[in-house]
Amino acid sequence: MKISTKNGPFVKSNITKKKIEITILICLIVMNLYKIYLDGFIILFHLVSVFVPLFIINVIYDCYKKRKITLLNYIDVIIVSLITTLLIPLNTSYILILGLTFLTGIIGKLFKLNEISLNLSLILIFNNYINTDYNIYIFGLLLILSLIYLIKNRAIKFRISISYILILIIFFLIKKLAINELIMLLLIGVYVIPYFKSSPNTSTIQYFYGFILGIISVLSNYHITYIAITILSIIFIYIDFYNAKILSKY
Amino acid sequence: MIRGTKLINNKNMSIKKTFKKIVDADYIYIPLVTYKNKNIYCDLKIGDYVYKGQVLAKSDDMYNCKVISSVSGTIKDIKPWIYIDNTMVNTIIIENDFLNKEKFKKGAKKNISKYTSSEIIKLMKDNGVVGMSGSAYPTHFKYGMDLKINKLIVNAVEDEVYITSDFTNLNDKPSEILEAIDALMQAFKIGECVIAIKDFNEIGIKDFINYMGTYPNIKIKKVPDKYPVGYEKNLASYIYDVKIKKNPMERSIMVNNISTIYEIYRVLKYERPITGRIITISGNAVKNPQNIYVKFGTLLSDIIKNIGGLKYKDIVIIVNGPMMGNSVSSMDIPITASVIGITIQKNYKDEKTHDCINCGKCVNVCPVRLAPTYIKKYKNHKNILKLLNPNKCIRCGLCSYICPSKIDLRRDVIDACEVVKNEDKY
Ligand code: SF4
Ligand code: SF4
Repeated sequence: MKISTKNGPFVKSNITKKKIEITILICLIVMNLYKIYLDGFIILFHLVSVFVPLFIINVIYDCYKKRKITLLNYIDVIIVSLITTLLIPLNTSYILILGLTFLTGIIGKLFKLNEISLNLSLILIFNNYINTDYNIYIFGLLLILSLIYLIKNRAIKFRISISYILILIIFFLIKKLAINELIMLLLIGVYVIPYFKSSPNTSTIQYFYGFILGIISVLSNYHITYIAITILSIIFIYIDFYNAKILSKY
Repeated sequence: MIRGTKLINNKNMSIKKTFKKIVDADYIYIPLVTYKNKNIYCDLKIGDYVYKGQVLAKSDDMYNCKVISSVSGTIKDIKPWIYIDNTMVNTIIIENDFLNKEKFKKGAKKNISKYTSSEIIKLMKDNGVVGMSGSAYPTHFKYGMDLKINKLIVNAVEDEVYITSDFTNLNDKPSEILEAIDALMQAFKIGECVIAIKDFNEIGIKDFINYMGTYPNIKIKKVPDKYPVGYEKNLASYIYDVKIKKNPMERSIMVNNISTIYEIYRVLKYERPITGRIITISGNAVKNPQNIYVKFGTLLSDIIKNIGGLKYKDIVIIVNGPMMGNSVSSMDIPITASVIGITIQKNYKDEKTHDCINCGKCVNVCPVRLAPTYIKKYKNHKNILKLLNPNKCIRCGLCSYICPSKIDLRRDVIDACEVVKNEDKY
């Protein structure tokens, strides 16, 4: 008889990193396929221009950290690339995307901030044309379906998205937000703001984070929204830690 | 609202209508261990004859707990033996004479509701009643704190997956349990009692409800199927909707496990020491998962032989449930009052761990509102750690359970407790 000893707990939930990544990937692939259908294969070039620099940076980083390099470790890079591609203005040059992604990839790696919003905020400095002319209803429907799918599979910090989207809906209902703007901001609310790596963890702060960013988003333009996400993602790490400290006392 | 999560459940495996009484083993192994006290002094010698229910040793701490023999027979040896936490502790080995001789035998009491509170506390102390939820906390100590008890919660929640020993008691002994609750309520002037159960226990309470008509102050309350709702603090604050800082007793709420209540019944009825309990033997490696009544000191190996053996030869043995329990390296562990069940699983490959993805799940499930991911991140920074209060951890394991990166966060939090503790020493 062979008896092995292990560390508990001896049962684990079926939520795995891989499952979360696959769930997000499925949603993003569907959204991107629809974007390709609307805007053509230019979207694929955007995707490659974001993916390549991020992939190189991550491989270099892992080599430096002496980590094993397997493709499965870079699903996160694919996810970031797919999210960024969804939001890049259509007529942005590949060289610009390549260069800025390289820069933001390095900064993101060093300071653990929201590299998606940082990248997009820099891109918008050079190209502020946002195309929102496509079929918003189908796009909106896809977004809502992905949000439900992501929440159901617990692959998203849903509190952040929910409070953000709630603000958008309120402003939409009081007619301070057009439908195409609502859809664009929904895209940010589902994919960019609750980005795991650089968002708060305690529930109250998650709601607060979504709320503040919701207000900033509806009262300003996309450019400021991305800058706000980048800056607040750093500030909120400290607020979140402070809150965790307080909560642990009670 | 209760913090926690619904676990993957495997209770159906061991739920049966009846439970088996295990045939006594030839040798009984009684560890010299009481609550928070290992290797306590024993002045008996090899060759001494002991009676069933005889006190073998006493702890000399404030708890004053007793080590009691579960059989009559001759002491064959006193030596270090493997204990349920996988360490070696001094253990008395008794050769069972199968006579179950008792030194003082009293008849059964007709009415157990006539005791006074101090009589009950004395009976609990003399007969070794301890918490049967796995803690083995001395019950006489809990009741003897000289605090007013207004409410009693009988905890039949049984949080652990695979374990159904409380369920078996609830199902099998409804009238006895109600009688004991009534006796406690009368003696300690407790105004009301709530028996807390989880939804899935529904089948178990049908009989119970039939008996309850005669006890208007005892109620049943269903609690959500969220682990660890059975944790005393969680349970009391959920049932009475109050904030509890440290212990339900600060709100005059006494919480007792349902199996403890049954043991109290036996002590009040027969005035005899506790010498055994119902435990669950379950897991995918067990041929016939079931609940059994077993005498303290019986080795797991003897039990397994008795209930039909195992399916596999490469196994993991978990004492006290897969969430809060620990694994042991031998089949020769003796069953004690703090064993609620044994889960035996076919050996499995550990899941690969990944870097933290900052999903926040561990933070949002922790029932005591700790932030395991931050504790892990700062585990080498004593000053920061202190601010995160890792020593509040109740070791429920929920953070490790939920983590998608399969990080053993509970281990990190326990390590952090050590760091903070060591810091306090200087
Ligand atoms: S093991 Fe400790 S830190 Fe982890 S969830 Fe339970 S109480 Fe919280
Ligand atoms: S659950 Fe695991 S992956 Fe998620 S924040 Fe906690 S440690 Fe990180």
